[in-house]
Amino acid sequence: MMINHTVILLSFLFMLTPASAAFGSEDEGRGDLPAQQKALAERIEMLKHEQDFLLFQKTAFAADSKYLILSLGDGRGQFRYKNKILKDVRFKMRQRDAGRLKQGVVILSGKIESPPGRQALIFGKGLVLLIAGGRTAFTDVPVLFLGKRDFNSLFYALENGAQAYILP
Amino acid sequence: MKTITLPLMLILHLALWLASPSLLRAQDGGDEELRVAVQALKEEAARLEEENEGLRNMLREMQDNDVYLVVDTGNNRLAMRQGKDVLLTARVGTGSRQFVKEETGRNWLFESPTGSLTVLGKERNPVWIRPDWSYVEENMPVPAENDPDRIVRGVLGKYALILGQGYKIHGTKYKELLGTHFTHGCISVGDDDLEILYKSVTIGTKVYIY
Repeated sequence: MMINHTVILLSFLFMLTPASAAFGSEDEGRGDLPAQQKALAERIEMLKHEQDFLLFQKTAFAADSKYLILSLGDGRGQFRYKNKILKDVRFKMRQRDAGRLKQGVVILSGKIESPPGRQALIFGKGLVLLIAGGRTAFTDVPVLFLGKRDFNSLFYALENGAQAYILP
Repeated sequence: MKTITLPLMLILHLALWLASPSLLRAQDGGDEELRVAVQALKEEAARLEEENEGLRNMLREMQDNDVYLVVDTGNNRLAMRQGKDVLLTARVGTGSRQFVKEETGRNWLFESPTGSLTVLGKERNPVWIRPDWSYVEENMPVPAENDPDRIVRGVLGKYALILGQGYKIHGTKYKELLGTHFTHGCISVGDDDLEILYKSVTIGTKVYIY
């Protein structure tokens, strides 16, 4: 009787050993994989965005045209020519436009020249730059507001076709 | 009963022992796919990191730490910059954008040049050689090219930076007009700012006017 019980107990222990050894280690590895996959996918997305901006700069450094870099995160921008900063600008964004502006290039497609104080720099349907303080009819397009002096600098210096790169 | 228990347990044990790897195999198949996918993502991330590092290095090499000047003709401001730093800002005078026409048909638009220019020379106590438009503007007869009447001293300040094609960054008698469009195209600067510029800038310094 005693032997029987011992045999049964040992049998169970033997049965559990291979299974638990295998399942235990696999569970740990498997638990990591989806998390790793997600983290890597996010990192790749970030690296692709970074590369897009680096390639934009590479092209801009070689081109003979002035361009803008607008960093939404800190409300600051740089008006640049090749590898040189010509002017630092500041801007404000409407609450409702937060999230509407995506990283990438927009191209200056037109200027509204009058009335004074209501001029606009229009980057297609992607963005409009205006002087702060004025009322605007632009409700469907994201708008950034600049101080009058900053706006004037850009208004006269930028020509149609000029690029602005939006950073989150 | 006793005689049955032992063989039964041994058979059961053996069956489970043999089955456990095949039970794991199905899960292993899914894991393997996931592992391959993760490995591919790791490789893509590594490739992008390497490419970005290369691009960052290339952009770094394209940067320089030279001092340069920027003139904003819209706001009549000059900035001396180096990298991301602004070393000096100054109110300046730029072209009046006025138009002068001579009876003979010659005409002049007093506009500052725009674009990428270079400091071609530096002068102390510059002398102004009055151009023709200066006489036309004041309804005076235009003298001969080498007429000594054209030589005017003391109106351009103590220093001048030569930009070419008759354009200079120089001083002015009309300090109260700094910050406005009042010149014939040159960039006028106050005395103190002009001295700083003269001492900081070398021949070859880039000047960006927009």
